[in-house]
Amino acid sequence: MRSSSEQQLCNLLHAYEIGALTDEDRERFEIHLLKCDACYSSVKEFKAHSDTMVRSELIKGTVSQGIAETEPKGSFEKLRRYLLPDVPVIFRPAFLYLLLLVVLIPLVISMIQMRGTNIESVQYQDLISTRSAKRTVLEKDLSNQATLTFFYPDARHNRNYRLIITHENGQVIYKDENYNMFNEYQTGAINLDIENLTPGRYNLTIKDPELGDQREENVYTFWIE
Amino acid sequence: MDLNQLFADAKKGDKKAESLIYNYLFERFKFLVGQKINTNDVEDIAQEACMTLLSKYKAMEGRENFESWAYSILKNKIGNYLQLRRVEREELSDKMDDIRNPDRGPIDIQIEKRLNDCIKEIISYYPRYARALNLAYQGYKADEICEKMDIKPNNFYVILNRGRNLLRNCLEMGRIKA
Ligand SMILES: [Zn+2]
Repeated sequence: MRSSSEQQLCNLLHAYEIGALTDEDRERFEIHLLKCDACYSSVKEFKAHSDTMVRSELIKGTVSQGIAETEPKGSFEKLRRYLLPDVPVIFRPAFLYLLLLVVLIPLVISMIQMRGTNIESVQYQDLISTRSAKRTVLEKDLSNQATLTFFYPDARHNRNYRLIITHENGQVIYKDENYNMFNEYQTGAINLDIENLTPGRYNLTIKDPELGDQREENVYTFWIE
Repeated sequence: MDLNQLFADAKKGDKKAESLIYNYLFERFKFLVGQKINTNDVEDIAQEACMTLLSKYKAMEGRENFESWAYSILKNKIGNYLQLRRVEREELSDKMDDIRNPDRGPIDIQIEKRLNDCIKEIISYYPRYARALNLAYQGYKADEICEKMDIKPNNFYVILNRGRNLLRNCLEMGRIKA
């Protein structure tokens, strides 16, 4: 019975016949020929053909021309060999590309969905009374959403107030007749979409309808730039 | 035939075993000399190698690989032969090329035609074999061909042997599939 290393040497048979072995492997195979009857018989029996194969210019021409003619198949074969080389399945590029697609597609879809939900940063501004020298500025470049907070010392929780925001040109951009969202610290807040608002100075006016004209209105000023 | 067993028996004085070794190796040596050089002295070289082997084998360590040792003797005889011819034909360097190349002599036109027809058929059926063959024709050796075809040596040998089987089927039956 032949050992597995001898069996492996039997595989070199045709490479030996066509002269494709390195010097070292050719010697190993010739030593093998001294004891392997199967290889010796095969090489001997095929010798006239293998000698002709190695020497014939006609056959060499046929092979190289044939390769050239099957070139489109050759390109496909190249691609096939690239995608499906003779390695374990998990290392084949075809499998890895598939895996990448399986991971990437849901990721791309979820990113598109996230864009749809318009997650944006919001700028928070505490409005202060017009009596203050400090300017409150909402910058369009920062974000289109602004949350304005304002402290109204007389505000009472759950009571309705009138809120109006007007541009310096007189245009009313926000109005709420029944604002009742002041907390127990007399602070209220509203969200404002400033994307389409004209830059300039704005006044937020808060009035307690129950007091009528007995009390001065509270006015807060801010700028949109 | 188990050469190593014959070798062990011959070492113990078995003359029949010794004669079997001689006959067996003489045939294989003749074949290998013919594979390596082009000369009418094939038998002489093989015989000389066998004689040397029989005169020395008893001194050889038992554990040594007998085939490798026998092969080294043959290789040495071929080397000596070429050296002798070189001295004799110092001025005729092309003659040395004749000897070194075992593939001299006319090509059998009929074999060539049949082979050519079969290879034509195999090219489209099994292009990987044709590609391996083409690279071998360009002078590349197994390791380089494997690199160019991006395959492992085992796959390369499988491709070649499969191509050889197709070729033999075609030569014997006129078709590539059995
Ligand atoms: Zn073998």
